[in-house]
Amino acid sequence: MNSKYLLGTAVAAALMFGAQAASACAINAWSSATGLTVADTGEPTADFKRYSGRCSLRVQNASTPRFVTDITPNDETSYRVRFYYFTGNISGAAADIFQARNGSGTNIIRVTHDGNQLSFSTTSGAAQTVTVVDNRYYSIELAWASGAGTGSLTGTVTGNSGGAVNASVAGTVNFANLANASDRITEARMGLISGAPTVAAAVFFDEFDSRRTQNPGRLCRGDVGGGVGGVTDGNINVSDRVVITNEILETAVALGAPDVTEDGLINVSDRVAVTNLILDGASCN
Amino acid sequence: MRKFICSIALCAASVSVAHADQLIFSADKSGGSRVAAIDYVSNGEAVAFQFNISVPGGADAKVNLKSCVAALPKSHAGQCSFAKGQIIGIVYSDTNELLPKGVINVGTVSVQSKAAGDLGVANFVAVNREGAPIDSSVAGSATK
Repeated sequence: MNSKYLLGTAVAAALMFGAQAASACAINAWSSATGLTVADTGEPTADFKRYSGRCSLRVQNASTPRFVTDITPNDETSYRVRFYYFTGNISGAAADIFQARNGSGTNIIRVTHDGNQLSFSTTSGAAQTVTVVDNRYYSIELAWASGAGTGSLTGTVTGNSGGAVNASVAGTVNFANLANASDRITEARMGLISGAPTVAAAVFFDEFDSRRTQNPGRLCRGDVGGGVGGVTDGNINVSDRVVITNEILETAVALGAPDVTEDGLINVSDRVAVTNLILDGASCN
Repeated sequence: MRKFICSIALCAASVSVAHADQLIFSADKSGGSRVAAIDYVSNGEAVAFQFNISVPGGADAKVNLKSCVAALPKSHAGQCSFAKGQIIGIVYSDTNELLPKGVINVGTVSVQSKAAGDLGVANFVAVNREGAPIDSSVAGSATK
């Protein structure tokens, strides 16, 4: 994971847990970390389940708050965010995994996970939920705006796609016509922020990207190479199959997004899945 | 057609083995039937390659891919599909072995289509062990 900075005409943060290429994993791209250190970031060779790049953030204990904070937002009235969440195996209580807060510490956007479903809420309206399964990666994409009766929060949860050619949408949420003109976002938090579930298998976070006006979109599932120097090229072709093979053979850690099946593991299933994408002539999804 | 293909391939091999890899694509057409032979000239750097063949008539054409990658060396496997109006072929090794140097027979494809036009290589890429593209080109012919 390697992204943390607000992008675009203002809010734009792709906050990562590691620098590019061969650099060590890091946490210092974030404004602060609570209950977490650089030791909670790592590469797949150390059993960290990353979605893209070399690094991810692992949270394996919820006994105390453990989260990273981005204070890049500046009283935003429009906020778009995408991050990848590996659900692990948690139970017993719901944990806040994402919060976008105002300057007074009030949650403007809140996402919780109770081990069975993600729950989304904002400053008005009943919470809306999306069912997820354990030990799978999902992208969580949110778009929020304030307005006098025109405010909104929409979200899409996509993941656990297996060998499907098109990524699987687990569910969507839609809060429309919100009277939230005075709401602002000044801070984002990600991790096991509050609540104290039992964590039988760690959760992971990766590829946080927030913006003011544009949706970050999903990463290109299966795109791990093809460019000069081994960088991703936005295409799904035989070069991606070769690079995924190298990671299976432990010859090299793939950059890009090799976890085609979105199960946190890079193995022959991903190679079969990327082959399916190639043979379908699939575009990024 | 095979003799013609081989003459192209051998020529390409003698000229190009020390240079770029080549996909040798030789198409023949008779009425609504089209057949293409596919060979590959390897310089010993590639572990895999992919070709996309445009098909006249697109998705309405009938294609036979039974022999698409039937002639590959044992070190490599391959698969072909017909999707979005193109034949998509990939040749690979599950241990990323290098393709042997020289001329490699890949296979043949056949197409039935009432539409005008010839089979053609729309895209071709050969990659090394790191998954990076290597210098490569397409050579061949389309007889009418």
